[in-house]
Parts: sequence; C-alpha cells; structure tokens
Amino acid sequence: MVADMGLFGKSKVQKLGDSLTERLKGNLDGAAMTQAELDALDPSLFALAEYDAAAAERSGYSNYSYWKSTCRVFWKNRAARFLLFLLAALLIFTFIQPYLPNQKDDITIYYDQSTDLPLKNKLPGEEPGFFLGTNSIGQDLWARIWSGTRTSLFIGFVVALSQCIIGVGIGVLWGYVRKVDKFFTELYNIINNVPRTIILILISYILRPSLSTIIIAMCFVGWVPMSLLIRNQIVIIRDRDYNLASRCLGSSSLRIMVKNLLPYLVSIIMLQMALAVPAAITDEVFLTYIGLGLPLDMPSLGTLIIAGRAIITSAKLQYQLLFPCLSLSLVTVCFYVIGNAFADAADPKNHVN
Amino acid sequence: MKRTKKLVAFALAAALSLGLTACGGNDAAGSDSKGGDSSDGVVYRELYENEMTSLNYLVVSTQNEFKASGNFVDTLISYDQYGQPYGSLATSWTTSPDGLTWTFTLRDGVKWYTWDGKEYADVKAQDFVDALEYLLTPSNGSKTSDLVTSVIKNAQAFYSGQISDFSQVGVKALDDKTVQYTLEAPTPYFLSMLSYVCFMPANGDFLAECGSKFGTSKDTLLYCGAYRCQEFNPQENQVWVKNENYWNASHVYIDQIERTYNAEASKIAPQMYLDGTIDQAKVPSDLLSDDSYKDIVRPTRLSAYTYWWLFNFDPHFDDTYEPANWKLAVNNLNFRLSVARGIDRIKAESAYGSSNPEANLIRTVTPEGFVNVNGTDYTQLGDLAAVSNTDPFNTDEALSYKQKAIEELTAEGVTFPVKILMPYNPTIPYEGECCQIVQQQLEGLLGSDYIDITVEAGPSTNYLSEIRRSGKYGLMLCNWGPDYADPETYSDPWSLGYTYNWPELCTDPATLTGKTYTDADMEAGVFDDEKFIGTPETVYINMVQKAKDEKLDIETRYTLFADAEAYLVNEAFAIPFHRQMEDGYVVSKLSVFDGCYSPFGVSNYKYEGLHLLDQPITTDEFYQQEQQWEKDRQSALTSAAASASPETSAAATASPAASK
Amino acid sequence: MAKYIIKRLGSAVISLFIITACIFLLLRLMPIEGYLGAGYEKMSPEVVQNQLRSLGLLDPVWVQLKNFYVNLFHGNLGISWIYRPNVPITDILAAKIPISISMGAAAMALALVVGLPLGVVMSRFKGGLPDKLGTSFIVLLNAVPVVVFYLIIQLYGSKIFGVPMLFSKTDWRTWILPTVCLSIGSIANYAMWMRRYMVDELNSDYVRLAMAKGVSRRNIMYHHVFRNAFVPMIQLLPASLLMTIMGSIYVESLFSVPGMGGLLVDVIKRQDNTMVQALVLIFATMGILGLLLGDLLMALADPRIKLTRGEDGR
Repeated sequence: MVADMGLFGKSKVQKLGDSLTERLKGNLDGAAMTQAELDALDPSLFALAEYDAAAAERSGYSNYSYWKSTCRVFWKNRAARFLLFLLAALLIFTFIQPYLPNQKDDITIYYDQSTDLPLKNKLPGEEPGFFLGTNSIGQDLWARIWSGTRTSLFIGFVVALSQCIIGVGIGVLWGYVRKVDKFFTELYNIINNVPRTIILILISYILRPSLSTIIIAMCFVGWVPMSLLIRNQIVIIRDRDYNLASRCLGSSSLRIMVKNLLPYLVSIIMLQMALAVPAAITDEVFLTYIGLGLPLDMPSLGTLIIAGRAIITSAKLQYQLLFPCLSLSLVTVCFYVIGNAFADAADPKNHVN
Repeated sequence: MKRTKKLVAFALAAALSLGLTACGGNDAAGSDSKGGDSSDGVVYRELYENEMTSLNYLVVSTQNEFKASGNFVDTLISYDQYGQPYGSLATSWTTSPDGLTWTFTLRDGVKWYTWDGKEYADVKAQDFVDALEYLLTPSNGSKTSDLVTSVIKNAQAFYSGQISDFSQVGVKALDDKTVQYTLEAPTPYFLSMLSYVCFMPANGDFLAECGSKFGTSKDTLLYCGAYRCQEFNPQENQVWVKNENYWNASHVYIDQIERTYNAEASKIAPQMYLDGTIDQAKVPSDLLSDDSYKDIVRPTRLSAYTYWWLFNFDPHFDDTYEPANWKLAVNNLNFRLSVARGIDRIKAESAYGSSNPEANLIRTVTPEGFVNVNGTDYTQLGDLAAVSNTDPFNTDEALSYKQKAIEELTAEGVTFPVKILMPYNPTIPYEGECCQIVQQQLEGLLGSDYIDITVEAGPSTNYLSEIRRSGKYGLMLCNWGPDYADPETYSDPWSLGYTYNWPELCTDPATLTGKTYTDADMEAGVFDDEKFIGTPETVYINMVQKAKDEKLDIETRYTLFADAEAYLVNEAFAIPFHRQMEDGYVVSKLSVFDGCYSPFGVSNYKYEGLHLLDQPITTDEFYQQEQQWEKDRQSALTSAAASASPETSAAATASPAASK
Repeated sequence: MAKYIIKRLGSAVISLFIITACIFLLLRLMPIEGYLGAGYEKMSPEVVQNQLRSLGLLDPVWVQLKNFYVNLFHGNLGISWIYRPNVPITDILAAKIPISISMGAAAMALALVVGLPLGVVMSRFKGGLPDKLGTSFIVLLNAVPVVVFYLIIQLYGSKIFGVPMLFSKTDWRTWILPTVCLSIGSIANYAMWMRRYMVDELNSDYVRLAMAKGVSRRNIMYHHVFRNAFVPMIQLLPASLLMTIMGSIYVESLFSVPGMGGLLVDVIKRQDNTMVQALVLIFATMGILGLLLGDLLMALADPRIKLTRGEDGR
C-alpha cells in the first residue's frame, strides 16, 4: 500500500486539489446561489455519516488500474496507434514473407535462363518475378530487404532487451546503494573512455563475423549509457519522502528498489528501450561501414545499405539504396513515435483528463 | 507519408542532376584539353584511397608505397614498354662466366636532388653499397631484405649477425662509377631483381644525417628519379613535380602530379571525374552500364598476381565439417579432378562484374606473357602447352571423374556428401559473392548428394593466419605474385615451408617420389627447418628442384618448370582461376601502353612515358591498343632475342620511350 | 570547490592509469600478422622476428608496460609504428588537431545558433505548425542513416551550391558542407532537448505565477524560462564539443578533411599500438575533463546546484 501511495499518491492529491480549485473558481466567478437553488439541495447531504472503515479506505479513483490507463492513453494517440499496427504488420510480414507463394530466396543468385549469366542490377520490375529488382550479383532485392529487416530487427530487439536488463540492473544498484556509487562511477569512467571500436575489433578478432559476435559486441558496450541514465534518475528520487517513509517502516533495500523506484522509471525505461532498437540497427550500419559487419549469407539492413551506398553515383541503381533506407527509416520512425507516445502514456500525470 | 515523398524527391533530384552532369562532364572533357591547369604544363590529378605509410623505399614492401619509390628514385635496370630490361642508372653491365659476379657501370652526371630541386650530391657506386648495408641492418626493419639475402653473397650471414664486417658482403664500389655484386649461387634472373626497391641506391651521408627519420617526410628523402615530391601531407594531398634533371626527362610527359587523399574515393571519384576535377577514377563494376560512364570507361591491365583454388591436404577445421572424411576424399585424384573440371569459371568470374570475364581467366599458375624463351611464351613450353590450350571447365569430364571418385571413395568408406568448407576473406570485394556462385554452381552440377559446400566468412582481421596458415579450410581461393622474372617465383607456394595447402601431406603414393628428407638435405639447403626431416618428397618438388638446378640453359630450365607446373595443374594441386585487373575499371585520361611494363619490381608504377590525353581511352580502343601492343611486343622480343648473346649483354642506352 | 576539483582530478588520474593499462593489455591480444602489413606473405620467419623485436613486442608484457609508463611520465607519447613509421605521434597529431578543433567549434556554434532557437520556437508554439515541422525534422534526421545522409549532402550539396566536393584548408567555401554535416545531428539534438526543458519549465508554478501577475509572455520566455531551461543544456556542452573535436569518421573520410575523425579506427585496424594508446589517452582525458567541466559550468550557472554535499545522509 505504501508503495502504491508512493507511485500514485502525488498525482491523485494534485488532481483532487486541482479539481477543487476549479470548482471553487467556478463558484466564485458565478453569482451567489439563489435562494431557490439553496432550497433545492437535499438536506440529507448535510446529515452526519456513519463511520464505515471500507468507505474510508476508498479513494476517488478506486477503479484505477495503472496499465489499463497507460494503454488507454496510448490508444488515444492516433499516430502511435497507426504506427504500432504498421510495425506489427511489418514484423509479422518479415516472418511469413519466405512462406508466401512465388518468393525468391534471399541469398540465391539467379541466372538468366537463356544466357546463363547472373541477373545483375535488374531494375525494379524489369525482370518478371523480381518485384524490387536485383542487386549487383543477381540476388532478389525484395527477399533480401525482408530478410535484412528481420535480421536487423532481431539484433535490435535482443540488444535492446539485454541493454535494458543489464543497464537497469546496474543503474538501480549504482544509484541507490551509495557504497557502490564510487566504484561504478569509476567503472563508468573507464568503460566509457575505452573506445568501443577497440572492443568491437577485438571481439570480432576472437570470434568470426556472425550474428552472435555483433550482438555480443553491442551488448558489451551498450548498457553503459542506459545505466547512467537510470542512476541519475534514481539519485533524484531516492531521497523523496515516500522512500524515507518506506525505509522507516522497515522495507528492505531490494523492496524499495523494485517497488518504489523502478515503477517511477517505467516511462523512461520504455522510451530508452524503444530508442535502443533503431540505435542498434544504426550501430550495425556503422559496423558494416568500418568492415566488421555480418557475413554475406546473412543480409541485414546494414549490409544492404552499405552495398547500396557504394553505387549511389549511378542514378539508375539508386533503388538499391533507396529501398533498404526506406525500410530502416520506417522502422526507426515507428519506434521513435511509439516509444515517445508510450513514455507519455506511462506517465501517470497524463492519466487524468 | 511525408518521409517517403521526401525520399522520392531526393531520388528524383539525384536522377536529374546526375543526368545533367553527365552531359556537362562530357562537354568539359571535350573542350578542356589537358584536364589540369595548362599554365603549369601538363598536370595530372587523381584521388587515392590508401595513404602510403612511409617514403623510405629501403623499408616498405607494399604496392601502395612502391608507386612513390619508383617515381622518386631510379633503379639500375628498368623495363621498357614491352617489358624488356634496359639500363637506367646503369649504362652497361657484364657477368662473369660462372654467373656469380655482376659488374655495372653507372650513368654519368646523375645527381641526387632535395625535394625543392637543389643539387645534393652525385649518384655514386658507394650509394648502392650504403643502401644495402642499411637494408641488411635488422634494426632498420626492412621488409624486403629477404630478396637480398636470398641471392647476395654473405648477405644472410650479415643479416643474422654471423659476420659483422659489411665488406664481406657481396657488393662493392670498384670506383665511383662501377658497382659490383657477388652472388651466393648463379642466378639467371638476378637482373630482374635490380628493378626492385631493395636494390635502389641511397646516399650514405644523408642516411646517417636523417637516422630513423629517413623517408618520413618529403625533406628526409633524396630524389634521383623522374619526379620530386613537392608536397607530402599525409591524409591530405601530395604534389609530385617533374625532375627536370632526370636523365630521361625528355620522355617524362607529365609535368606535375597532384594526388588528393580521400578515404571514400571509390564512391566520389567517378562523380569528380565527370565534374572535370580529376583525370582518373576507378569505376565500380556496377556502374559500367551507367549512361554517364559506359562510353568512357575502360579496363586496366591484368595484375601478375594469379588466383587459384586450393584443396587443403592438412585439414584442421571443426569436426562439424568432418576433417577425417575430407582427408580421405581430397587424397583421391578423381575427386579433386571432378571439382577442378566442374567449376564454371566464367560464372564465378562474373561475381567480379567484369564486362569481359573470359579475358581475366587463367589456365596456368604462371600467367601468360610473364617470361618467354626467344619469343615463345613460357605457357606454351613443354607439357604446359596442353594445359594452357584446353579449357579446364568440362562438365562431361567432371561427371565421369565424379563417377570414378564415388566408386573409389565408397570403397574407402567415405560418407557422402563430402563436406567442403569454403571460407572467404570478407574484406576482399566480391570474393564472398564469387564463393557463393561457385557453391551454388558446383552443387548444382555435381549434386548436393556428392558434395556439400559451406561458404563461410573468415575473420576480417588476421584472415590468412586464422584460415589458410592454420589449415581451417577445405577449398579456398589463394594467390601469389612474382618477385623476379623467372618461373621459379611461382613455384614457391607448393614448396616446403610454405603454408598454402601442404601437398607433401598428400597420401596418394603416385604424388610422392618415395624418398624422405634427411639431415643431409637440410645441410644441402633444400629446406631450413628441422621439422621437415622425415617428410616425403613430392614429385612436384622433385621436378621443381631439377629445374632450379638448371641455371645456364634458360630454355631447358623453363621447360622443366613448365612440366612441373603442368603436373601441378593436372594433379589438381591448384585449380587456376583468374587474374585481377590492376585498378579494376577506370575512366582515365592517361595513356596505357606507352608506359613501362613489368610484372615485378617498381617499373610498372612509373609515370615515365605516359601521356595525358584529351579524351579517355574507351574499352574498344583499349583492346585494340592491347592487340597492337602484343604484336609490337612480339617483334620486339624476337629482335631482342636475335641481337642478345647469352653470356654478356650490353644494354641499349636508348630508353624505350626514345624509340617511340 | 577547489577541494572538489582536486578530488575529481585525482580520481581522473587513477581512471586514466587504469584505462591505459587496459588498452595496453588488450592490444597485446592482437594478432601479430597485423603488425607486418601486406608484406607478411613474403617475409621469412627471421625478418618477422626482427620486425617484432624492433617494435619491442618480443619483451615480456610487463616490461613493455613498464617502458610505456616510464615514457609517459617523461611526457613522451612515442613514435608511430605503422601508420607513419618513425614519426613522433605529437607531430602527427599537431597537424590534425587544429583542423578538427576549428571545424568542431564551427559546427558546434552552428548547432547552437540554429538548434537552440529552433527548440525555443517549437516550445513556444507547442502543438502548432512550427512544433510539428521541427519534430518531423528531428525524426527524419534520426531515421535516415548518417552514412547515406552525408553522402547525399556531399554529392548534391556541392552541385546545388557550386562548391568543391573536397575539403581544402585554404578555400573557405569547402568548409561549409562538412561543417553543416557535422552540426546537423547536434542541431536536432539541441532542439529536441531545448524544447523538452522549455516545456517542462513552462508548466512550472513560477511561470503560472508570472503569468497571473501579467508579465508578458515574451518576457517570461526569455528572462525566466530560457535561462532555467539552459542550465541542464550547459552540462551537455563541453562533452558535446569534445565529441565534435574528435571528429566524425564519416564526415572526415567523405570530405578528405585531414582531422582526427576516423584516425582511431584507422590505427586500431592497422594495429599501430603506440598511436592507439596515445589517442585513447587523449580522448579519455578529454572525456573525463569534459564531464568535470560540465558539472562545474552547471554549478556556476545555477547557484542552487551544489557539487559538494555538506552532510552525507548515510
């Protein structure tokens, strides 16, 4: 109960106060009540009530559910709702695309039946069956984009999730337990200043270029900013009165962290996670750019974009850059808007209207 | 969706502006005669993608740096436009009858200049001695000393510290104008080594003065070649100016070379060429059919590096790829041949985007036109003639070898499909794509119940050590380039001590002579590591050794090498694949066939003799000129063969360009 | 305050010590092939050994580490190994740092001049057209990968504005495109944060009070809200400036800017260990100092913020 008060108490009180002020203002602005209106009031309203323990506990918003309200507020945002559907559709489509009829394989090189030469750089629609054309060695761009989007989204989700788990865990510890603050601050200073590229190159040297290498490398360096953010937020709220009260009532540190502090950060964490997915995809583009990307038999948006970028000067072939970029942009915008809308919705201040 | 519209608009704008510049670029090329600013004479401008690490020609070992070395410092011997040697710093030379002593007379009046053109000193015979001493001092860290220690008398002993008196090393300045090299053993190809950086001269006083700073900047280098380095701003730009006092300056037609560094040159250089701001740009093969480039782009000459597929006889890869099974299969000649005959090389080559894939393919390890005897090309000698005149891709043969292999291997207990691990270097463009093509094509032809190829990316750093040297491959594309003008240079990868595919571990008795190496062989210098004692001698190495021992009769020597090479290919120890173009496809205003030509040394990197044209050479013109060049070359070779006597040769003082 | 700074500096030195040691040891895990370059294929084992010996790589690791620190204490960053052999690292950096600093500072100034007002305008018209346009701009910038963005700016920007594609120190026109590229990300970033802080401030009680008292909206915006919103921004600035000085690998390689961007990636890939160590040392120092400077600036700008706690709760 204490925790719940901590989480929602303030906004409720504020809301109550606000509505009272509103009403008061209305009353003051309008003319004084007429006698007729006064007579119309039910005298029973002014009778003494019996003491009822249950009623005393009941609050003005007894049917309030946090997640339900969050969803309700989120749902009201039409743009976010639309993009959520879009993203879900995209996600589902990346998985079912290979099983649809008439789909080409993403790594098979296709040959012209008559000349026996690869169908290279065919423009969209130029060759029947190749909806988005082919790339520079004769693979189907349509299949590659979906396969690449799938790979990139997978990387994004895994990295975001692990960043969230590691980053939040360490961040909460770092912020709340003062004894480890110094240690983690120094650790942060060190890790943050060892260039990631060294770590990435070393990891890619030890392991072969592969999906797991990239994910490991990104997780290895990715949690740091997240944990710093969480730590700073925790430092701001850890000494608030409700936590003091909670501590006085004998709550353990763990309970305070999990029940008092974390719920406060839901919106920030959700936003960070939503932004971490496109950030991981962008990082993958960077890795491909410096030559540490995924192997060829696993198309990703990074490999597609870097390959398309190499031929940007040919106006004819720019479709090979345009389509992967569109896919990347779409994913990024979806996550950006959904993340922001969800963060807004997760903030209880926005639950009252 | 606002974004989509915007991107489409971007694409449209892109298409429009590209179309516009394409016209503009052509117009500019038509009217602007010399490309560069003609008030300073002929200026050639280019972008370069990789910065050279050092100008110190006594240390560097990569092509990137040779480009500067070859133009800044002259060599004793250079190669003309047909690949014939001529005296550059040397005017004449003699060989002793035993072939051990080579004496060179230096050209008169050649001087060292500082970067700003001030005279520093004469180029003297002692400069060659000082340079070699610098090169053989291990602390100077020369990367090309191996070539010197392999031929010059006592050089190895000095390098490894067994003798400390440099005067015992086989290089002497008899007087200011005469330098004499003494060799460890007769070396027919010694002359060709002299066009390499490790035999360049260096002024001893200047070396001592600069110390470790030698060659780190434009002013810590002396120049005696065709160009001086006027600006050297690493990662920024370089300006080379013509050395007016160069002995052959009248055949240097480009007065100034302006090189600008750009790490993304491959993306922006083509556009800059169209804008008229540079005179040469590499064009990615994907742009070949683009309207802006298709009429002006041309191929470049083929590099002397040859690429071949190798079967690994010493597999150390993961158990998932069944190394034991692989070992049984790879030792079977029919299995190897089924793969060797089954690779559709034109299809594989198409990954590299060549417009004329056939021209890049090779059938032998030593490329055509590398060396010749009296005008007969090496690849047409002995057994090698048959190899180089038959197309190795033959589906019928491949399938019949497959049948035989299945019979024999089933008897040996091999499980099918045989797993073939095919790694590729992810940093080399198109190699992965090529492997993918070969995988799909081979499995399609031979059946995936016979072979199961796995194409896998190797690590992007340390690739060769991780994959090839440690034997973590089944079938892999490897390469080798020549160091001097002799077929011996191409036999190295299959020799003892090289980490290519260990043919000495082949268990097929037909490939072995039955002899095993002993201590005596090590003392005789056949190999230099005791771990080879007890190793069986392969037929190939035996054949090569016989050829190596023939030092005086060049025709016999080459024929013996050709026989050995034919054996190598026929046994499928190597499956020759292709050569790559030196610079890929380019749009360029430089001429091609009037420059120095040689597959080794630094002559190839010289700008001497090249012209800056008003119009780029087109692909058709390139092939026409190449044919003409082949014809001229043939007659040049036969006339040279007719005039030269084998024992001594007096070099023509006239330069190749002078004859033009 | 002085005591606080000294304390922070002290711990910074310890951090740097650990960072350099970590880097040093990590670099020793690198494969030897990388030190020898493309010529490795044709080197005999003896030459290889000589190369490694001359780089000092054959000594025991702790001896190498000791030598490294001894040199460092003498203020000697050493000479480059591979990137430009035998050239002192200070010489290499001396040519590059000024360019990166001037370009970084220009980009930063541009970002501030454009980004902050954009954020202010967006918050002023929250929910209106300027806000929507600004937000789309920010989303767009985040959505299109910079690798593509910069290339498009270079290829078409140079055409539209008629400026050369490549950077040249002496031609001022060539500074425009790379500076714009460098600043464009920061513009979006500053605008986003400025808007956010401004909106937060606009909702606070003192603004309501000021409005109730009839202070003009303009006055409130510029004299009260902006000042308060700018405080958290100040902390970002030094780190952000240092980031731009380190340069962008994309921008510098595209425009041939001979600066620091990409230098680190380049030397790591070439395994020029001394260069990597020197660069890491410099970057780490800048990073740590940037954080400290940010804290100090923030404390100066807002007297309510105290860096040292008088009494520690627990």
